[in-house]
Amino acid sequence: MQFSIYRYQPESHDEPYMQSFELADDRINDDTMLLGALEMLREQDPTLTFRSSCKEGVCGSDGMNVNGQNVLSCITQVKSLPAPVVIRPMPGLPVIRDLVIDMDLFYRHYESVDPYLQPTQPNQTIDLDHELLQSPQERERLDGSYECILCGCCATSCPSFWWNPDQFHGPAALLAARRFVIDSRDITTRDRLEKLDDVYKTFRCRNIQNCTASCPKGLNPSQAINELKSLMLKKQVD
Amino acid sequence: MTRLLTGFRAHLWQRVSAVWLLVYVPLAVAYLAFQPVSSHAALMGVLSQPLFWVASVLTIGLLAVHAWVGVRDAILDYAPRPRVGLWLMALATMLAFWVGFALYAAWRILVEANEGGLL
Repeated sequence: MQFSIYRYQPESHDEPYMQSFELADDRINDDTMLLGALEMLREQDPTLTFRSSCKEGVCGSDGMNVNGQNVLSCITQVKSLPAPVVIRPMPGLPVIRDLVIDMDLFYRHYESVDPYLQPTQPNQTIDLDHELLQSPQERERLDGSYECILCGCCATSCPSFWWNPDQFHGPAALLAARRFVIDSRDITTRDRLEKLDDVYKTFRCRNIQNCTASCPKGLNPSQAINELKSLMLKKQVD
Repeated sequence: MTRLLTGFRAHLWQRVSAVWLLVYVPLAVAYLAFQPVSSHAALMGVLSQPLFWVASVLTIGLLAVHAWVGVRDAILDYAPRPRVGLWLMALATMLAFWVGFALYAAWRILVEANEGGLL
């Protein structure tokens, strides 16, 4: 099977280039994942660099662009891919080396939406010595938000994020923002929505929906962003 | 205008103006299509109908708002960052001229209709 892989090694090459690799078909089984194939290719060239950790689609460290689609290589079957398999780093963020990108900006956006429960406000505090109970219905509303593994497949496939990567929060951060806005245990909903009410932070989303199409966990950040906009309307009316 | 029309408010106004335009444009086209207009005076008579005139003036404002939000979004997405301010200034100037001209035309319609005894 033919592979064409993006290579960038700043210490030896000024410019990135595509390198062809060949993997014998008998080494590829039905259950061989792309990450496994990359590890086999690394036996041919030990300088081939990519991230990986859990190898089962939980850690989100091995996102990459395969045949034009952002995927997690550890849960992508090689046999499902048409050859030659063209592998590039996820677009829109700086490449450090080969398939490894600098996710710093992505994480900073995530951090900026305060992705944690805030049970205090200047004029209101929840007693943290007791459990913050939720009804099953309130808990159910969080489904589809908390499962995000921060792989970056969504943000790096979003044209709005490519255009304004330093200002638009991007789908993953906004999905997290929505998760804490709707959480019944958080009492800073109004502050959160006011913070998100910005021409860049939230309203660069143009409903392109690449985020939803590329999410390896099957989440729907696009719908979450629309829900945030609806909640802002509700806040204005209340 | 930029501060009043940013974030959620811009998003909401763009949708409100879109709905208005979606209603007004087909109705206006149908209204004008079915009016027998054979002269300038007749046209003034049609355009100066109070309901139609008020709706048209409202449309001028809402079209300007809709255009501002839509083109501003395109500028924010595509224009090189250092030139965004310049492009927004150019857009605001162009829209101000257009709104001024359109409102002047609307006012002239009222004046001519009044002089022609149509009101």
